[in-house]
Amino acid sequence: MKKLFAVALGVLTAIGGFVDIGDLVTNAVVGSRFGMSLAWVVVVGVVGICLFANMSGRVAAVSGRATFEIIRERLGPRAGLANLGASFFINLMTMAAEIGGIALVLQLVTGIGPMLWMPLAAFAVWIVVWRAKFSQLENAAGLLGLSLIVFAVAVVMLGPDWGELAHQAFVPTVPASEQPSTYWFYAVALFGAAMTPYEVFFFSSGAIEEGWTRKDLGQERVNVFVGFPLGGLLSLAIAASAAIVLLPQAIAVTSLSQVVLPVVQAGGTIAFCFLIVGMLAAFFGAALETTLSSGYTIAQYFGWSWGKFRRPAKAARFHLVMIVGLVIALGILLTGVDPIAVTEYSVVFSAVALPLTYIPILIISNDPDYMGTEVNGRAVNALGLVYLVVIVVAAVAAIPLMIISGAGA
Amino acid sequence: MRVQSVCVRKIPGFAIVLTAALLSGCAATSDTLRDASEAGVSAVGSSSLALELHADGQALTPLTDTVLADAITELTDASLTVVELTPATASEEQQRDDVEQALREALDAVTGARAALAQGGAMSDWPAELDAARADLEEAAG
Repeated sequence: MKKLFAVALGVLTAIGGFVDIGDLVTNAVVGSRFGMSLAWVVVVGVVGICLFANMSGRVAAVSGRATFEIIRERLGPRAGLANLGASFFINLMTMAAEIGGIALVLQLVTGIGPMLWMPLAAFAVWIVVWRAKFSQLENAAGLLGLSLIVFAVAVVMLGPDWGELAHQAFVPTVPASEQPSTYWFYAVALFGAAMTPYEVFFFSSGAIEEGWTRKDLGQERVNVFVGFPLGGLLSLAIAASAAIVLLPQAIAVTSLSQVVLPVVQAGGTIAFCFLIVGMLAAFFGAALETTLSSGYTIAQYFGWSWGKFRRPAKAARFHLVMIVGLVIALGILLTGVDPIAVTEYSVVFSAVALPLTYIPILIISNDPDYMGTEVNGRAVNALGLVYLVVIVVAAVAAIPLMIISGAGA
Repeated sequence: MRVQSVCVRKIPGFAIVLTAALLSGCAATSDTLRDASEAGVSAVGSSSLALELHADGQALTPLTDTVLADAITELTDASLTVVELTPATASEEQQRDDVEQALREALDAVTGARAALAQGGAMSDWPAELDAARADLEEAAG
């Protein structure tokens, strides 16, 4: 019974923790401009994140060491540094976007501008990272994030033409009002949002924080292969809500306040309250994860003592890196840059950095020195290689598409 | 003789580049105007939807105010983009002026609605104002 509860909790937190500001904004933008015609990218992205998160979690559970420690040891300091540089930069941008997202959500409730909320949000993230236990912060954010299911409820309440939505999803076309380059730019952005690098580093480091061993591989697989796809369905619901309400009125999402409108139209103030709780939990949870990931990546690369399972005094440099990361992220936001723009750029640059993150994971998960008998099977490797091609194509195409499409304008 | 032949050979290339530059300039101007109009239509559309939901008691005042504030930012950005354009022809200049005028009217309507919301005034006239502004923007976009 206790094990069943642990598995259920893991799945629920995986669903609730799947959506962050990058997923939410990108899916809403895409739904409002392309309907469901980019739904296939969400499916491709979810399969990819399941594949690589499972590898990363398995490496941690079997070897007892986090991904970055092994990347540096196995591939050498140069390859490790390239991986670290790209991951840390993307992580920093994502952290800024999540903190900005918290501020924007608070603006929706209070009407007070986001600049006031940003320092408070950053401080709240730091105090929780400093004081709370790993399991507490992961479970609380994940479970409260489940409130985002209100998007799926809203889609049903709006009573859409299901046939039309299915047609858009299964026979994807570029709308007449959009350029093909813009369509493919958002395809890459959506892929980058679904496969954000910090998710696998957090997943792998979290496995060490929670003391996973080979015995926990079953639970790890359930979390990944049940929780993440259900989180992907949530992403599709966000796009569908925008496709139903905003697309017919030619409202192209450029702000968080527009993302909320379909849910409010469907369920009024009660749905709005659920949505606010869900967005706050999702963004706050992701801000915690990115803050921790900044500490994990640097500390694991340099071989410093790290982890929430240690007292801050015993992992001082790990905590210092997180504080510096938070200060830099806050500094970026206080320049007055639009958090939604930071979000959009972070998912595109995330796509650019994907090969640097996922190629090392594929190499290590095939190394018997670390994995013993738990190396990848043939089918996993075949799928992994297919995904490497997709990832490299997306990474190479991201910047040219951004220039040609005027960043999706 | 050699110089002359080089010049003769270079003229078509130069002409092609010039023509391409002019065409891309024209395309860029009309594309920019269309994008600005579409941004305006989107901003006015979200304002109308927020006011409608507020009138039905579904959207709370802070949410409605934030939607209108975001729309004002969007319209201001679109107006600035249009103002900074340098039209190459008289027809482009006319089109730019039409879009600029439509964006200004839309901005007035959204700003007025937001002020009325803040003051707790009557909101019944603003949906019609926004509809008119949207129609003008759609017409200006061609």
